[in-house]
Amino acid sequence: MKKTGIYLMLLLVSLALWSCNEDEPGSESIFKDSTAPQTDFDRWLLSNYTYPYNIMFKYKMQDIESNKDFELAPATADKSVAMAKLLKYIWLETYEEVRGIDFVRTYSPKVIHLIGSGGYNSNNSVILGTAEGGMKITLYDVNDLNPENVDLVRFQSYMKTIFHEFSHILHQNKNYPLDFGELTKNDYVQADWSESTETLALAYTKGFVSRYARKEPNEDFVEMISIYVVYGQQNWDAILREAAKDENGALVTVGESGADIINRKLEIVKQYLRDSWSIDLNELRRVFEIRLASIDQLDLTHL
Amino acid sequence: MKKIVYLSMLVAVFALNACKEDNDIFEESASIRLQNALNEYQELLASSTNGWFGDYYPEEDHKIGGYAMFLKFNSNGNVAVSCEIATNVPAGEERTSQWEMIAEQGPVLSFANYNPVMHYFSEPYASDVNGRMGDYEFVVMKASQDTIELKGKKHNNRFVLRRNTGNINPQTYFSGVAEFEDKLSEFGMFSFVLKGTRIGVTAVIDRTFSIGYQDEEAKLDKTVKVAYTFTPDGILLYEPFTFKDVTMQNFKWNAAEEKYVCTDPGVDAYFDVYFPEDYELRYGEFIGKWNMQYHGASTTTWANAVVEIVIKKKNATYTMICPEIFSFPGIEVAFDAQKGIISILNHNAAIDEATGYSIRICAYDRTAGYLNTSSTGPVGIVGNWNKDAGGARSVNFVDNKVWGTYHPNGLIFRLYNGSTSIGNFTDNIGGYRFNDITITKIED
Repeated sequence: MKKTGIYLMLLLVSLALWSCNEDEPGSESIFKDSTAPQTDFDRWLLSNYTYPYNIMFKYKMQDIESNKDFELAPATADKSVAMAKLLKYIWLETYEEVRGIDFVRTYSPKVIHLIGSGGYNSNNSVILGTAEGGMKITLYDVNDLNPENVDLVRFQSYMKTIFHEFSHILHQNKNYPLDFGELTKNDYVQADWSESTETLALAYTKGFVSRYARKEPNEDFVEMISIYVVYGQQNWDAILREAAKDENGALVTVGESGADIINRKLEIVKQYLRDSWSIDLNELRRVFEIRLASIDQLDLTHL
Repeated sequence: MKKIVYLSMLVAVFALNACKEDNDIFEESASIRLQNALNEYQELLASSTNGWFGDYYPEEDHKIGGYAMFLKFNSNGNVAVSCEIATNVPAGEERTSQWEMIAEQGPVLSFANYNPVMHYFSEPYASDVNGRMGDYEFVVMKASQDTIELKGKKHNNRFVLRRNTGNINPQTYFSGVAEFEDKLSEFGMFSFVLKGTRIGVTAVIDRTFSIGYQDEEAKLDKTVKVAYTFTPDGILLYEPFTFKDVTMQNFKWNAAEEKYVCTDPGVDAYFDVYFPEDYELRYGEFIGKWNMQYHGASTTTWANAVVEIVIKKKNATYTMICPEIFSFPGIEVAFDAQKGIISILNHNAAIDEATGYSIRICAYDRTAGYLNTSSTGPVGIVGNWNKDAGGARSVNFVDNKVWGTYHPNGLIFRLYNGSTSIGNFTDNIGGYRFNDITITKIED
């Protein structure tokens, strides 16, 4: 009898505790963070970036999203429209054409942030783009873009940054064979890659396609992809020609030159993309080049 | 066993009590209150159909003073901005971009896409990576119907918006400011007088007073900086400025007495134009026709010519014209508003039409036989006024004492092809040597 009473009590206690639990979420979203009315461009971005690709295209510069070390100015609305159309056509749709929309949706960075001015370092060097952990890509100097006549060389630098960063996302999801880094494992120099003694010519002779590639294997890997795709076969051949020489400009025995190493690296890259992602690197480049060559067909001044 | 029962009852009572304590201090959630604040400020800004005037201060610690701006916010998300000075567009012209109130730790006013007027102050350059260090996102500090006090997020400068209640045309306001500033640019120094006591003297550099004064208690020389903007009839300090328990901010120009008088109620303070003891002449007093006496080719026989001194950049420079002896439009004369003196410093005066070379005015030390080859000052000759000698006003040019061991007492005109010296400008009508120059006023 007594025991029943005790159990009843315990039951009551536990019920009493339960009754507190009525903290349902309110109906108001806490994510309304601007008073700005939606513009046509905002709606265009929703239906061309957010819904199809799951990407937030931030053309309005926000201080908390930007690099605090820089003094910056935002992009104009017009240039932002042009940039949005260019990036979609040349980057997202290239991958979509080669690999399908689900792939782009899953692996593309989630935020693109545009900045109107350049990002000037205190040593007066300027950066065009940065990426943070595969999540966000920031593109600078957008106000310098001429929608009427896009400077292709300049635009290639943006694309180089984007293909570079996007390739990081790929290898972070599926690792590439360790053989890649073994090929030049003694020539990675970490932060010293930008030392004046670590020249581009030296990088070539050691089997790298850029100075930055000497930082570490991951950078090397994505430099291979981005330079191969964005700058084309002619540029690639020129690199190989330089890489076939030694530091004094004399040809090195075939089989032992930087060019040979680059070729071996390229094989690993191509096989990795084929096996892990079903991407044919040459096909990716072909599609990219066709699109790049036809950007003068795009209407960059209207939505 | 009973103990357990009582304990359980006690727990039950506490548990029930705990449920009642969920009283919010505010009726609405933080996110809704923030959202309401955004909407409220959004409406307030858009509610002024005649727009807002604001004083925009760029640079760290607002060290170069502020500029009058006019902003008109629309509820459709557009804002038109114009500024008293030339930015990326000419002074007074407005440009439209988008604005929004965004939620961060608090409500923030953002100019989030490019406006050639507003972002002139924040954009960096390859040659100047920090640009002008202006803000484009502002935290709302305080707001009333007619005044909104903002603070730049990055550089912390205040930006106070005042409702244009009088429906003042911004163009009229800006040209009033420009005229007033132009008039006042003559004065390089002021003294600060508080309750009849002269506190200290300040030079004016970039719309900022730096008042030097002696701290009586600490027996130390101190300087206090006060930045301001121009209004059409006076100045408005960056923020209320407190000195010896007196707080002041608004000053109006009194032209008759040449001083800025504080118009804040109950404040007895002013900044009056100050001429140091060795101050020579005012800008306008140098303008006019002068007889120039100098040694040319001969070091013993005086040569004479009538020169005219005309305004180049008001209160900063003049052009000395003399078709009689100069084969080119004229040479530049610099005015120092703080000392009231004129100088002729090394400079490229013109392009020689015959050869296409630059005509460079070079300071010359005849005794040593040396000339200074620099394309710009500070080396040159400075004018001394015959203040105490009486007679017609005359100015004698001597060494300005910045050229180390050499002491220029004249000028030599040279030709330069870029940075390469071609030689003396021998084709000049009056020759290329001008030493021991004295100018004597003929007419104003």
